[in-house]
Amino acid sequence: MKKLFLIITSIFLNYNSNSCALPNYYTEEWNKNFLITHLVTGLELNTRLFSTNNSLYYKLNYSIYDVEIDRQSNKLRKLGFSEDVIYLMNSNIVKFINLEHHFIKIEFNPNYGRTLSSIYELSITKFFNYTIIQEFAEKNQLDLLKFMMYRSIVLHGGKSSKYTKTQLKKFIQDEMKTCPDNLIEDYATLLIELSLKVGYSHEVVSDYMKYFNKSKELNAIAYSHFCGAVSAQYALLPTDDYFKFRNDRELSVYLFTKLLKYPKLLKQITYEINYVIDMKSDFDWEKCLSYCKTQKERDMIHLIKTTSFSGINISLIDYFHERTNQNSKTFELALIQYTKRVESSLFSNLYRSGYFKEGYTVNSKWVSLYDYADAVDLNNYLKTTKIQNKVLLHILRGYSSFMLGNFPEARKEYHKSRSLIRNATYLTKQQKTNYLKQLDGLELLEEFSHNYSEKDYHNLKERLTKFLSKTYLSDEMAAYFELGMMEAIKRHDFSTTLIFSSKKGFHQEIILDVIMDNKDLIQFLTILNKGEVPFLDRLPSDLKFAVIEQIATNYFREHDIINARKYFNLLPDYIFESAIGGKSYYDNKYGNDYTNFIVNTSDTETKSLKRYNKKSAVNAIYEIMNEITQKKSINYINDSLSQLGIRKEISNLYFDLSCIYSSNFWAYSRIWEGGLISGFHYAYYSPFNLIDSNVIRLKLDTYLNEYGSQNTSINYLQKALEFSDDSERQAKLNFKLIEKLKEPILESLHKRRYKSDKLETIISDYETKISSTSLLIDSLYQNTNYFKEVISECSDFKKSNLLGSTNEGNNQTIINNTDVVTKHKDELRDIYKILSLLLLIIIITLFIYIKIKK
Amino acid sequence: MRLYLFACILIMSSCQSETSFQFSTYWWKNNTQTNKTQQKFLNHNKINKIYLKVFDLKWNEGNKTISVPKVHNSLDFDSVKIIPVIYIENSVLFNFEVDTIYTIILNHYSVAIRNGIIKDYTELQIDCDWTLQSKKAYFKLLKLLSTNITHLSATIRLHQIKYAKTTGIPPVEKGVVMIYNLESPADTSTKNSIFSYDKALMYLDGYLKEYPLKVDIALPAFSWGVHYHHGKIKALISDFNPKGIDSLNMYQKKNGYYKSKKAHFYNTHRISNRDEIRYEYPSISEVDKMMGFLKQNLNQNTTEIILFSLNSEFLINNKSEYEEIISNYN
Repeated sequence: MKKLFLIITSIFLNYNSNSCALPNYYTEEWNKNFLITHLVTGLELNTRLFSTNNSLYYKLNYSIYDVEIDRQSNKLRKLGFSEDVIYLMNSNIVKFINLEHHFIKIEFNPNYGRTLSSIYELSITKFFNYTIIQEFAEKNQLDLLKFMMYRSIVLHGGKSSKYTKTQLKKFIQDEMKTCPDNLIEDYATLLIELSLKVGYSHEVVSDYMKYFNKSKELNAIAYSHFCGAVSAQYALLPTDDYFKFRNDRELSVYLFTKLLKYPKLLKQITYEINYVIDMKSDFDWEKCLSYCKTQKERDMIHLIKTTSFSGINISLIDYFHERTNQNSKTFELALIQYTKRVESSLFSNLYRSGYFKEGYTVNSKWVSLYDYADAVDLNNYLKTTKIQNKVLLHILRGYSSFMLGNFPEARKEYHKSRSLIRNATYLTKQQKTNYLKQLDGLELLEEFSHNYSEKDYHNLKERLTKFLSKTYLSDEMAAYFELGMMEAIKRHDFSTTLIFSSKKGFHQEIILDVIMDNKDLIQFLTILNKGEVPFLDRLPSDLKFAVIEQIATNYFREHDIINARKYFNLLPDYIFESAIGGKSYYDNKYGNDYTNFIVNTSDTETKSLKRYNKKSAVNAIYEIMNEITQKKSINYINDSLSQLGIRKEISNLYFDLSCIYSSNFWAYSRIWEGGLISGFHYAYYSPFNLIDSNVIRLKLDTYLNEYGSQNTSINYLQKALEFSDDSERQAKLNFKLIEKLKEPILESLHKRRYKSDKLETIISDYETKISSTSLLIDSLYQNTNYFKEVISECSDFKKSNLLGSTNEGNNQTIINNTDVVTKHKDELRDIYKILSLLLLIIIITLFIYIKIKK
Repeated sequence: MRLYLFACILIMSSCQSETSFQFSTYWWKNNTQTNKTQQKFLNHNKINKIYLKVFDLKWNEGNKTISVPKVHNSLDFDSVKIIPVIYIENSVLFNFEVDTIYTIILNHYSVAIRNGIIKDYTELQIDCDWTLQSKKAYFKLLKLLSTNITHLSATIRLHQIKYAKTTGIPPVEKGVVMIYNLESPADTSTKNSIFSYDKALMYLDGYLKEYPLKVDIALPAFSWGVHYHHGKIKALISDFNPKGIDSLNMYQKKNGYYKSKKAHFYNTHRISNRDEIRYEYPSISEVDKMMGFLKQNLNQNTTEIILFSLNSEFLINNKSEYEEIISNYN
């Protein structure tokens, strides 16, 4: 029966552990972005292709509302407001607003932090707390605060009815009559936002023309809504001032492209334009182009057109090429973007799968024939097309050849590009430097993609470090950092692995805690102390302390208290105070504070709690062990009374050690702080899947079996028993021992990660120990007061006591037999129960059947 | 003798197992702009009933709300009875309480009455591809609606006929068996995902007669193009018609697929180089064959055949073939 239970449990647990599995794109760069837009073009349009479902890229999903947030935040910063105030002003404060039937109700979001959950008046004194009002009053900015209230309701607010929105418009129009001039456009933005929400396109247009037509600044929200409204169908008389701004999708698309003044909006603008195009089955591109006044504007329309189709469409890019000039930067951007499409669809998939190599064959499940054909199309087109910027053209030719597995062609093209740079009069000095950097990166990628020797590895590593140091462009270079990390981990060069690592998938936590041993860590600490570790801002905020703590923790885990103490003592005390250490080295906000663990040092039912952190625990252990050594060295052969006293003291000290080790905090470190489940999960994904999975398994099993169990505590408790001569105390300690044996594993996940057979062995081993200790208590300590007052009250114990009392000779064989008999009895009892139930069902069915027959 | 004759007539009439048909159509487009050809088709075939999809209840994953795309104007046909239809996505049933969905339906229903799109609460049809997971909620909703609607009907997919015991019988006055959309269009090995007589028979033969609910039948009268980009379905192009293809943009392959030669627009669809389109439409002779099968295999005296749909260009372009079927079976 127990076996059946264990099988079911293991199936259930396996299912559970799989169900919480996290996708592996959180552990690696999904798009291998080696062609760096900022190096190859002066235009700032964000042409990066990225997976939108990856939360790591959320900052790249930039919208018109983000433009507004950035603008207002800068304004508040200039006025001297704190970041906390700015954060609050951009938060979702309002959950719901109702302005119907002369009634006002504003419901706040629970995380707003106000005691009031709702207010019934639209005023800043009700809406904001006293401190905020004071801060704005001190800066003479109460009008701005009032606008911020409306902004919060309109732009960041929750649900409201159409009627409420119309009412809000009236309130805002009233405010605009008295507000300072510098807030007119801000209020008008809210008006336009509300008009859009209630579907009054004509009001969007008229308000935009009224308030923004002469504005020097392009207000992203107001202008975007205006562009959208131009495409909408609504009735106006031809005599109306704004007659031309309706039902004109071509004009709308043209106007939208002007929003690319904010380069980060490219993705949203493309989306909006596609929406406008899709409104009807026809779209007149020539009409759209006719609105353009300059070639630059026409180029932008062509760029949008090439972007709005999927895949590589040479016909589109050729059409663009025919209609632009030889040095069009926008056309260059379209070529770059197409090359990046190949990078994203063909190359990234191949690279991730590990199939990418020189001359790879097309007939493989890793090669999408469609993507490959697209890449060939582009490569051929790049070979024939002519643009002024030959340096870029050869880079793109080389890189597209490289992605098709033609490395010699790639090298040849890179070489041509490099040789053209010096005399390229059409490039600025900065552009030349950038192209050289890009060539460095692509050549490195090509060289890393071969088989190479250990000596070459060190050379390439040096070059990559140098390249990244001079090309430091924040997250733009993530693929190159990942390249370095992957190559280093393949060669078990873990210091370099850590240097190139990112914050993805708890890489840094796992590298420090699971992958690196103390030899690696000490080696790393040495170069860290010499100031030779680059890219420190990508690594944990206080890397040195994180490494030292890891070394000390490893020693602690291995019971090398002297070395553990040595390294913990290198850390300043504040690290251990109020949760400064540990998780705060990292940006993660997971897990509990492990710097102040509570330990119960009482051997009775009354708790005696002491607080420890790792450092104080190691120091306490060190002192206790010293004291034990000292006491053990005392010669008390001729003094039995002293002998008893000292033995009791040693027993107490061992008990203290057992108590300290009863918590698993001493083994905790990064992986635990990263969230136990995620930490374990990610350890099997990229880049760690490049290491033999058995090595990872062994490391993680060591956590589970050695650090996460009560083994050490049990050993010290047994030592305490060994030095105890008083039967009352022996009874207490044995009872404590039983309690520990019953809960040998400290984390529920430990059970989940064991294979079922291993778990069964461990459980049965502990059960044997429980039975033997129970019998011991029964036979030796039945007459103690502790037994009568405490142990006998314990129902679990009564059961085992009862079984134990039937076997007077308490040797191991009998205990084992008893266990087997108990197991059999349990199983038989369950079988009887099931049989009885079945019999009862049969009788009832028969009874019903007979009744019906009658 | 007279008594004998009467008995004979009675016996003969009781042996009569063939079903007689009336015809009607669906209108499955939020744009209710009609044309004269459609009106002529209705008049010529004496069709005086149109099932108009008045709104959908769709789950909006982004906002976690129900979005309700709907028709804004009434259908402008002479002397035609309009029966409202509501399409409900399963995800709506998974994410909202039945009472809430019920209230939303009634609210929008009453708006449609107020706007003159439909007349009253007498008749309503619900279209939902319910699953075993959504069945409980869906049937509860149907029961609730029955309290307000005099004649409530619900669409039934073919697998729900064959596996009626498992999928359940919707608690409505009448079902409408949809004999189209038989296979997944996403599958490139599918030849015709809209309709195949043999495929339909696998679900109907021996099962339709046993189905314990009175049913009407919906038959296909539409076409589409299944648009594939890089071997994966990208979109369904409704009313796709190869006649509208510019030979500079596409060519027909041996397998009947149309392959793009360069990037171009087909209506609003962006067709990239190497994209392929599979043109799908029901074989009208197979539809006719299906009518013959239905005549023999429906366990009821009369049934309504609803053509899907009047707003489809395919029906109008092939009106004479459909008219022949209608005249043969009317």
